[in-house]
Amino acid sequence: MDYYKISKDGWSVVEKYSTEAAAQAVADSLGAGYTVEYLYPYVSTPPAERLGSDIDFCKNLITLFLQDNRIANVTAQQGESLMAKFATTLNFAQVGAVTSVDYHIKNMVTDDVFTQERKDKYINLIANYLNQF
Amino acid sequence: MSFLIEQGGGGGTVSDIRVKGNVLPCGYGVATNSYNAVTMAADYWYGLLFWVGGEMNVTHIGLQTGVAVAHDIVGGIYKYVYASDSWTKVAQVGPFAAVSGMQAIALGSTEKLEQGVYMMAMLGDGAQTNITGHYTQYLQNILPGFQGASNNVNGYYLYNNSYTYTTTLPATIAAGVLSIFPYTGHAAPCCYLTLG
Repeated sequence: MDYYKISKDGWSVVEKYSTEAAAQAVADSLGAGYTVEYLYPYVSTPPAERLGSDIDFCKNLITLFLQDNRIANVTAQQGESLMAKFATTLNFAQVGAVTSVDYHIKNMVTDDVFTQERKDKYINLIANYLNQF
Repeated sequence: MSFLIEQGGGGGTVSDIRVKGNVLPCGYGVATNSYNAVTMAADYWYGLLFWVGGEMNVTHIGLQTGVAVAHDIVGGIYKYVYASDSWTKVAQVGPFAAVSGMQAIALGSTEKLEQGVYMMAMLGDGAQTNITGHYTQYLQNILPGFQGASNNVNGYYLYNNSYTYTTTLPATIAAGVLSIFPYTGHAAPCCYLTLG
């Protein structure tokens, strides 16, 4: 994968494509007069940067989850059940293991508090996050 | 050694803090986040704030997405007008093209943003995923020290969750039309700017 720039007049886009031909195909799909220019090679996110990003994402996911509990007026008893249910997931979230969090949430059984709507919301957030790498 | 640069003719000194290149405005603090995994809702006005302390010369407004843009999305810069408690449009671009990546649309001419408070506004006609943006708690606020969120950081954005999409953003928008969204753990989309 390398980065290419497709441009025309005052518009341009920089994106990574597998080949110049793939970039040219996108340019052609936009209409006539779009040019393609090679820029630089794609470099994957360094491990240290990725870890920081994953931990940050998980931290915010936990906050969002807790806010949703408050919004749903979860009682202390329900909160204890949730904690027992999510203990493993929470452990993985605290170390930034996003794919493990994703796995456990996908396999979590829904209930009155952890509804299907909430489950879909978190799965979607994680999918969007992982999709960028 | 001084980092102050003498400005010709004026007699005073000002710090030259201008930069060139692509920047994602509106972030604040060391933990500012800009991952492109934000989802923007349809007919939802996102107004993220940023300061200009000296001047900023904007040549393009851009959008970065991890997937192809699937809806009409426009982005614009507004400046806060104290006298009328409203926002006046400085420039706008869009809709953005249906491609993924970091796309930039040139303004008709370079916009020189003078000192003031600005809003990076975004509006779309559909729920678009994988846009670059910020977590709420890592956003700039209107005034320093104005605590908007928790976790010992500031940040909130302005919004209207029932603002019908329009290709041409309004010339002005009253402050009262927009509400404050201060909740941590949420993220908001943000256009990037090319400075020249």
